[in-house]
Amino acid sequence: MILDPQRVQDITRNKASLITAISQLFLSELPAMIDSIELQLEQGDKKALSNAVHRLKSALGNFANTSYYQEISALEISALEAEAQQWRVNWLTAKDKLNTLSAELKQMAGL
Amino acid sequence: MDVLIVDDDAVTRLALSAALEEWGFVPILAENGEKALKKLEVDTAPHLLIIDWSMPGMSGPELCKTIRKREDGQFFYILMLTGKEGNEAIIEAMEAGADDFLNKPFDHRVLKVRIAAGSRIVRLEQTLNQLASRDALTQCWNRRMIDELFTTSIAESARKRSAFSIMVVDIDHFKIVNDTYGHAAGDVALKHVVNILNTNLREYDQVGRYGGEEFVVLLPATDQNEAWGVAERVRSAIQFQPTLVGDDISIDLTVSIGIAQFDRGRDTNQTTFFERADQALYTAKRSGRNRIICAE
Repeated sequence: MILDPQRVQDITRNKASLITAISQLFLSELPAMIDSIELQLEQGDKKALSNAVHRLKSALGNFANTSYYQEISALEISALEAEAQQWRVNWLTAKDKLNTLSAELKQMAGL
Repeated sequence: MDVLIVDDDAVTRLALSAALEEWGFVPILAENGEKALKKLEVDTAPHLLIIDWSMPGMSGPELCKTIRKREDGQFFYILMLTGKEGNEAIIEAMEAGADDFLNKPFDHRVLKVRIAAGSRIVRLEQTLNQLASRDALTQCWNRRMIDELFTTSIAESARKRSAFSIMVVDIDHFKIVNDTYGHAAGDVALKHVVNILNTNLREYDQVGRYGGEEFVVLLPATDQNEAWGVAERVRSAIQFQPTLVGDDISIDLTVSIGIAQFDRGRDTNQTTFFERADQALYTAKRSGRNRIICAE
C-alpha cells in the first residue's frame, strides 16, 4: 500500500468531508504535477526538474507512506546529478505507484 | 489569533488551514513569498507565520530575511516547514530569521504544540509592545509612541496631500488640583480628561500624553477650522463634566488648547510644526486659560 491511511486520518482528524476535499484537491493537481516533471525531464533542466519533483513530494507528504515519500525524495536529489536515462527509469517506477496511490485514495475518500 | 500559511502546495495549505481552524486560529493563506509580503503590509497583519522552505520565486529563507529587514519594529513569529533534513537546514532557517523549524512530513500533534508555543510568544510580545507604547496611568499613547505616530501622520499628509492638524491640550492649574486633593485625585483627573478626549475624538484621531498634564492630539485629514470644532467640543466637555473622586469630591477642570495645521511651505520639520501649536497653547494660557488659540 502506497497510501498511509493513518496519516490521512491524522491530518484530517478523520473528518470525512475533509478527507474528500483534500483527496479531490490532490487528484485534481496531480496530472499537472506529473506533466511538469515530464516537461522538465524533456527539456533537460535539472534544477527545474528537481523543483517539480519537490512540488510533488510536498503534496505526497500528506498522503504517502514513509518509504514512498523517501523514494520521491531520492528522485528530487538525483534529478540534479543522475544520468537522464536512469532517472527516467526510476521515475516511471515511481509514477506507476502514483496510480496505485490515486486508486487507494479514491477508495478511502469514497470518490 | 490569525496565522499566515505560506506554502505553494494547495493540499498542504488546505490541510494546515483546516487544522488551524480546529485549534482556534484564523488561517490566512498565501501561495508564495510575494503574496505573503502583501498580506503583511496591512495594519491587521498576522504575527504568527508558517512558511514553507521551498517555493517558486522567493524561497522560505529569503522571505524570512525580507520580513526581518522591516523597520517598523513589528514582531513576527516564524515557523519554517521543510522537507530538508539535517542540522545544516536548521541552521540556515534559523540564521535566515526563523524562530522554529519543523520537518515535513510532520506530525500534526507536534505542529499543534509548536504553534501553541508560538502564539504564547506573540501574545507576550504584544503585551510588551502595549506596555512600551501606552501611558501606564491613562492608557493613551505615551510620548515615544505619539511622536512616532506624529512623524507617520506628517508623511501621510504629505503623500496624500491632505490637511493635518494637531492640538496641544494642557489642564489649567493642575498643580492646584494635586496640592488640594492629593496626587491620587490628580491621577483620577488625568484619566477623566483622557476619557473625555477619547469620547469626543474620531476613530482615526490619536491621543498621547506628552508630559505631566499635557496631551497631544493628532487630527489627520483635518484643517484648522475643523480642528477648532473638535477642540471646542473637548474644551466644553471638560468644563462641564467635573472629575468625580469617590462620592463626595467633584473637581472642576478646564483646559487650554493650542492648534496648528501642518503647512508644508512653512513647517520645515516636525519640531517647528509642534512649536507653532505649543506657542498657541502658551498664548491661550497667557490670555486667561480655558480657551482655544489657533497658531498664526
